[in-house]
Amino acid sequence: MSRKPRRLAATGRRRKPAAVWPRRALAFALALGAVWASGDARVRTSASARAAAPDGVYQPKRKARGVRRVPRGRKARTGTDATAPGATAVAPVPLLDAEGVKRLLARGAPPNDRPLLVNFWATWCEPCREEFPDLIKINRDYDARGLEFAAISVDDPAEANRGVPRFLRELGATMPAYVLNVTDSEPVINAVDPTWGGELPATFLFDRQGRVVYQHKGRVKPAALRAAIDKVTSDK
Amino acid sequence: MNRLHASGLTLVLALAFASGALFVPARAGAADTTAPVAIGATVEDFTLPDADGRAHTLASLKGKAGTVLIFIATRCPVSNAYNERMEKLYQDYKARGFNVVGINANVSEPATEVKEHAAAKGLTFTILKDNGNRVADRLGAERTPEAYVLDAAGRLVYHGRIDNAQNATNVTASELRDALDALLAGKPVAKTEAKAFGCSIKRAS
Repeated sequence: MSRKPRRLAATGRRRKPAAVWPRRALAFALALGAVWASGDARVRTSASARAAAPDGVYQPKRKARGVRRVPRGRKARTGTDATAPGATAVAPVPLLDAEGVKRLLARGAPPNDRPLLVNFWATWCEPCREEFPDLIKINRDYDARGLEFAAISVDDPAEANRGVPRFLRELGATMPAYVLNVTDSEPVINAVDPTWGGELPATFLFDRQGRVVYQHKGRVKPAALRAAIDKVTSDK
Repeated sequence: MNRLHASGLTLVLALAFASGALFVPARAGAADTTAPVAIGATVEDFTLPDADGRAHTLASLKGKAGTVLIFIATRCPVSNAYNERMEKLYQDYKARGFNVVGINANVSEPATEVKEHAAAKGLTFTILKDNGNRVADRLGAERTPEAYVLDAAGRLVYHGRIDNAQNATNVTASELRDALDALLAGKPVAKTEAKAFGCSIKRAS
């Protein structure tokens, strides 16, 4: 059982095992405890470590997780200039004013019978872009199960026929989408939820009576959102 | 020897749980957001480092007439749309007794980036780095840009947007400047809170 003490490379001195062991054990214990306590920090770190897009410019990624590829036979867009020669035309996304938002929100109230999920986002918003594949999956999974979905971009209205439809097409998004066209965003923010300060992304789930039953500011947690949708779509 | 290893393993596990227990309350404490500072309430003093690591207290940065704290970002296009307006605000009001202080609470934007960004964008007011977003949590800041105006006594008199339009040519309401002008005129601030879209603050926890 006896082991020869290792020599320290730098000094050639013999290290006493009895003196080393407790220090290593203490370091290991502290590290183990920190990992145990840190919970899901690893997930957040990996998400936040992704590169950010330059100011205000949406740059399509070569590949994103959960993204449906552009159908074969259609040219994939890799640049940002829709007017470039050979660029594939994109259908503009409809604009939505403050009254339009209010009418849309009323969709989740009687006599309508479908709950409504609303996501506010922008192409310049990194966590918005990151969460979009999850929202597309949720739309596909719940559309036939009684959920209305509206994605409202707060990009500059000029992006309604440029960056916004290009982004939606690249990801294969099929939910109803709009670009907000207002001179003052505050009435819209308050109409959606008076407790919301306007930070993006923001996701709200309205029940059949038009009440906010789930809200999340920042990148959505798909499991929690799906659980809320399951509940609200099963409530009669 | 085996007994020694067994007791050692027990010690390791015990220490692991003990150290974990030390970390957990700190994390839980950070997650427990106390009520944000309300309009009319005094903002307690705090100490934060600038991008060079020099510590500043809020008290040391207070202006004679009041103080403007603005949560800003280096990568947020909304915050960047306001760079010139924030610098102009600082220049316009410093001679009238107000100090403007930027606070970067984004965990994704390190101090070196904050320093480089300020130099590149011509931001000459003090910018603090809120590592761990302690001050953002205390003030209830959620987005960038988001402004807080304190009067000469340190009471919060305005909270919210700088103005109503990211595009400076479309501005029709400037609530932040209105609040400073009201303080200078000795009048109550007409609109104490105003909202606008912004980037969510990327918190450390």
